[in-house]
Amino acid sequence: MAKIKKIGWDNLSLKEMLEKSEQEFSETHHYCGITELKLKENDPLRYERVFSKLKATMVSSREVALHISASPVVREVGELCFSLYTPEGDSLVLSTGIIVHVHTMSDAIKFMIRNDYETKVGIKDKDIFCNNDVDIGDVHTADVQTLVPIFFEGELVGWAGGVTHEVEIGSIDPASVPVTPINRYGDGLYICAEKIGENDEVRRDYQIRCERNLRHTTYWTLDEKTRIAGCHIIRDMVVTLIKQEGIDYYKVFCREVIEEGRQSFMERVKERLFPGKYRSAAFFDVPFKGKPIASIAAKDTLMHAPMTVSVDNEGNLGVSLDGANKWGYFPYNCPISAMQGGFWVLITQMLAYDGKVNDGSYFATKQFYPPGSWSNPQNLQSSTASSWLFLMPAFTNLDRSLSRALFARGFREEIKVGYGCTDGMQCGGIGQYGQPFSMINFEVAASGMGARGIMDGLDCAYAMWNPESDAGDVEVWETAHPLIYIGRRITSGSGGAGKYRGGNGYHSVWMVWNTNELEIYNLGAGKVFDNAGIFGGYPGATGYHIFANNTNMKELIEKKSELPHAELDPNNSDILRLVKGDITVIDEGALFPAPFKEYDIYANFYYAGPGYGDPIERDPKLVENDLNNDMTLLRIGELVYGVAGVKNNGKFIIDLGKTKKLRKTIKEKRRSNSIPTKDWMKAEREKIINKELPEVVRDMYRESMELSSEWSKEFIEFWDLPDEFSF
Amino acid sequence: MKRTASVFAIDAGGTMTDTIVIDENGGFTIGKASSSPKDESIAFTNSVKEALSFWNTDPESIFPSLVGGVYSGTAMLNRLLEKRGPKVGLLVSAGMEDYLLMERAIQTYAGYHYADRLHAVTHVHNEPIIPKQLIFGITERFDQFGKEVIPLYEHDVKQAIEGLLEENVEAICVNFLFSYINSQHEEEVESIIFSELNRISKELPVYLSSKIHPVRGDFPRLNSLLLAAYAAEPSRKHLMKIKDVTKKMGAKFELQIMAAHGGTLDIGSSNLYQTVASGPIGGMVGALYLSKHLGINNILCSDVGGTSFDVGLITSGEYSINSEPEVSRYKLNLPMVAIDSIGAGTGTIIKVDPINNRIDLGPESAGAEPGPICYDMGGMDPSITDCDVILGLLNPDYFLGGEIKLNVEKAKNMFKEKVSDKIGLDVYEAAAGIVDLLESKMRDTLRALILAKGFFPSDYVLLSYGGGGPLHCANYSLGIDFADILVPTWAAAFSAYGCACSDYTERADHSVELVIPPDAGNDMKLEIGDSINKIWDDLKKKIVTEYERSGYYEEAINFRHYVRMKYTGQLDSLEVMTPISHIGDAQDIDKIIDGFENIYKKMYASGARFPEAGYQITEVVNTGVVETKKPVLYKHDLKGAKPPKEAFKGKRQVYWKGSWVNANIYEMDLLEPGNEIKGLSIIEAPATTYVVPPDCETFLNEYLIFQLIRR
Repeated sequence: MAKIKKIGWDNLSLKEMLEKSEQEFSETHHYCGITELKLKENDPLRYERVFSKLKATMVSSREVALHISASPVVREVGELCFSLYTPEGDSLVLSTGIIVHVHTMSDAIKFMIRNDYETKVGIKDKDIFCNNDVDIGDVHTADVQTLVPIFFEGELVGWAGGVTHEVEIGSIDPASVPVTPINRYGDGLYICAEKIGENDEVRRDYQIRCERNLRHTTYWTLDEKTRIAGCHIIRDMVVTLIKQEGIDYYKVFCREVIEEGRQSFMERVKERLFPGKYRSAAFFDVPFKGKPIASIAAKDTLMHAPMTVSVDNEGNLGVSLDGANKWGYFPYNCPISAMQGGFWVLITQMLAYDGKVNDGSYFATKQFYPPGSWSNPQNLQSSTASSWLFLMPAFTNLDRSLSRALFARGFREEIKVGYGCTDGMQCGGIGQYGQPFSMINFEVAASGMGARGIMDGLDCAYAMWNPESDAGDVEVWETAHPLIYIGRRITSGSGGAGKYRGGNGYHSVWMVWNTNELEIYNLGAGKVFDNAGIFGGYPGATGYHIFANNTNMKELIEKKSELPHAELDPNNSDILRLVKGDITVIDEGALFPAPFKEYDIYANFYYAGPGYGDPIERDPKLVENDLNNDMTLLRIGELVYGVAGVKNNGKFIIDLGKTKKLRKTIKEKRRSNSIPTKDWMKAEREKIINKELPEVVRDMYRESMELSSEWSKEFIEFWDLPDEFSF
Repeated sequence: MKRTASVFAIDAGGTMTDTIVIDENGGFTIGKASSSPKDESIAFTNSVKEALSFWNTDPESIFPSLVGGVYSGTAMLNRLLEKRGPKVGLLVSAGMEDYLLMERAIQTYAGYHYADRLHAVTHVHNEPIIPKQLIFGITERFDQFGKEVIPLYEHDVKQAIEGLLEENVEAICVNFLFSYINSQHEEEVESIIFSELNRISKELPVYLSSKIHPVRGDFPRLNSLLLAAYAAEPSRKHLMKIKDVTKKMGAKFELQIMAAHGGTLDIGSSNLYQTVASGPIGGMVGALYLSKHLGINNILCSDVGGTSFDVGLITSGEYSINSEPEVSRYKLNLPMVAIDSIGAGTGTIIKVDPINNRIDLGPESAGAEPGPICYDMGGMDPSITDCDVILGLLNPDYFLGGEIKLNVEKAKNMFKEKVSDKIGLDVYEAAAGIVDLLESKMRDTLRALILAKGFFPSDYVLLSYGGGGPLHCANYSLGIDFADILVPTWAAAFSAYGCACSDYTERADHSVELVIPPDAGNDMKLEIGDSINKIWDDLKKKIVTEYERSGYYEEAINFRHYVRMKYTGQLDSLEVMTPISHIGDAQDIDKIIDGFENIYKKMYASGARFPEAGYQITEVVNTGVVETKKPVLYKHDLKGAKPPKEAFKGKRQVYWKGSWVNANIYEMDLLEPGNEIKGLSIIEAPATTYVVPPDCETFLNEYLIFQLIRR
């Protein structure tokens, strides 16, 4: 039998290369055993020149490809990212965009290598691979990856990877971030690291499968073209670069640049973060009790994300989610690849934003996600279609811990306390063009940013998963779904109060138009806060669902009566005040698919960022400005910020003297309301011993204790409980 | 020699105001003066006077014989950035009152470089140019098809007007959703406002988004609308002042203003807002002019300024139009010649990262004040100009004709302390390496622009201009196989020159939603054709009205017809010039489709085509052009290859590829067409320096354009 030529370097197979690289790292703690940055030292300027060339290629491939897409999610809000990998699948340079995926694609490449694709599937020049399987390497089914091998003179020299967020993935619910899947079989169309094309052409049988398993394929098809076009630009540029610089240089360069990324990252950690252990926790409610799903899933759950961030003197950064509770029958489970993606995207925004942004940072950190938990289910059956929903609140922990560590080192201007976590409204049915449609409105890519250490958080302009956030134009979104905007307003006072407040979220009020066949659903936190402030700052507000069916909107419009353009104050809802019909208010984040028809109303909230510092230390002039721009509510100004003044001609004018007095009163009240921590803990301990906690809370802690003996031990010690205590 | 000047143009940039005056034989003189943003007429006068001083004459003697003049300035942009506009009231569709506080998030990092786009804590909103109290929501709605969903609530309008009048606004803007499809509500509002104003005998300008620029994209359209009311209108007075100066100098022509779309506009035009960002456009227009006259179809334009490197493509004798550009952190609906820009120029600051000793270039720039270290005006940060002078590439005694004496020692000492010592290299090695790094970034930008679109460099001529273009082009073009490399002797004022090459152009756009399914029959195509014809005619009327204001009638106007189209479902459209001005049959629609397919293939490679989805026409565009008098591209007789003796200035030591070598120094203005100069040579002019490397030679052609030839 003729021997198949190995496509790796030095007559190795890819699998042998990967094993070698991993062994070298575990033995030397340097990427591929590279201890000295020889290329950089010998000719630093040539080295920078080559890196700058690759970086320019990544950015321009994204810019060009962006324009091919049909999906507002890609074109309008930029949900697209490209990266270049070594043959073993480690990223050396990436574009901007949803950089959360840089490491997920790395996992997908490694999966193919480990599963002997080289010999069993074949990896050839001009092949096209596709993946959206979270268990292989992804965040959720909606994020679809294209991977193209790059060959030079018969050897594989790397991989170009591109990922876009799809608006339709053929899941149990229309659109792409479904709420009802309870296991993998509701997640949508899975492409499991599959070869979908050869000779630069996508296979027709694969296309047919997609066409028959998705509600519509225009976006899917054009986004695929988008990713392939971008990968081909990268492939061509890399080959040109190798011709110019020489293959030997490139081979050393592509690894050295990752090792340099690793070393720089550790230096950055050393410079910016004060050593120590930083702990925090985040929660998320899963209100599935009584919902129309299988009985095993129809229960309420509270998800638990206790995070420990450790920093040492050498620049080692570790993250552990020890204590996380179990995976469940809901779509929010997050395999490791997704968790690493979440970690990665925040790190690149707070620590590794310049220099060599690549997988070097990944090698410089240690992460632990407990097996069996929602953060590492190790169960292929689990649904992960909406992993983002818990991943986002869980990683607000990281922002808070890094903020504290930055503060301790004196880098106040680098602090970002967290962010609001939301999902976009999703809908499907028959659209305004009379055809089946589904859509996720990604204006959610512009929620509230947490407060910064020296100023307020950004209002309505931040998405943790994509630093190049954007909400897009109303006139573009209205072409994508049969809902028209009757308002898109800042949610007053939603930003977590603080000396610097969290960025406000906003909300859109839609009226169903041009269809009588529509379902809308959504997900998010509702019963619990999905973020928290620091140093006395409040959490950002979450939201609620309010919608009206069988309305009198038509009549109101005909009579030119007042319409509900906004929900500026939840205590005084315009929808409740003005609209007659079947009105539903749900104080839960998750909304299961609900039917709508023309003239029905639906309002969606994009959540706000948490605050920094004590609100009564906020400059009263800033509160005045907020009040005059409807950025906060009068009663919040008074109760929370302790600001007094008068409203004159519709304008609020602060009274500094009265404000001072009011703030003094607030302090006194706080003092009189306080009790010693010791006493408070004693009372709480009683509740724990007597198990006087809500059922979901007891279940949550029980699962955490069952999964981790160490966390259990610490819990028992902290609350001074009997050794045998369990929930 | 008695000269008869023909045209002149001025490019008032952020730091310098450049003037070029061109005589009827194509001879030119260049003047530079420090910009005077508060009153641009000062820099205007100084710059013109300086230019004419080289001809030993003055404006009063020359201006009466000029037949045209074009101005490109930054006053309008500065007004916007410094929030120095009038008190404007704004009416929007109810529920959209927070437009300016929310913005599009894209504006919170617009113009940032790669690292800061990731570094989220650096993102900030723009300060709203209209306070919340002056923005009123009006209940009304049309849908995307132009169907009325909610009628106009007149009582909302009356209440809003009352509120705005109480606040003494100086203008009112109206931006309703989908007004580009159906402008009825905006027009009704306008008539209510006018009748209210009549009642109280008051006059106020009213701006409707459906009139200013009826194109999809509610937020960028709003920005364009506000730009028109807040910045363009007040700038009209300011531009009139400059026009008055030209009149005092004896001008008989009407001063024209350079617009972002590559044409010029009359100061009275209602599209004056389209002149907001025209500086870098001038170079592209100049290149297009050269392309037509020299028969070069494809040009890659590269402009090296103090702060940025601007590049753009002319392909098959056309540049492309970006319909939603970002200008100074504002996303606008505005047709603008497509230009890419990176923060790499001669003033770019060199930084060394204290953590890993990595060298980073820019994006900050030393600017004109205090300028690079070598200016000796207080600048402390090493920049590219400092490297150039350290390496001997720049003549310290002849910078801006000797106006600024460069302090080489100071530049060297500070560069050593702040850069070369830190990265462990010798001063000269480091300076040369850094210039090389900058040029390599420029090269990547050029290559990406061409290759990413699937074009071949060998089909393009590289044109290099801007004050720093001739200095760096030999190296930034290295390794890219261009058909030719051209450096005009007037490179330093090429953008101003380009302004003088543009035609008086009124452009009108209108968004539509015309779908051509893949199986569209002839009847359907004809129906679509009728819709397009109707809009072309409407837009023509609009254009004719604009021209009548400045005394031109329909017969003098050349109309060019365009559509913007895409595959159905896609979001981005491409502009297609149609070969016809009236659609007579179904085949005419096929011709438009072919035009689109050709452009698409060029832009995104063949595999990204999607004809199965059908096509959608999203905008119908008509452009009226009145040709203006342009500079003559005079063909000189070629003299001998040997440069005249007086042009040779001697030799100078230059650090080149690791050693000090002797370079021949020439005076650019004394060279003659036909002269050939071998590298290593440095050709100096007051406003620029042209480097010919050892492995190159240059030939000054009959049009006074250098060709750089690699041996």
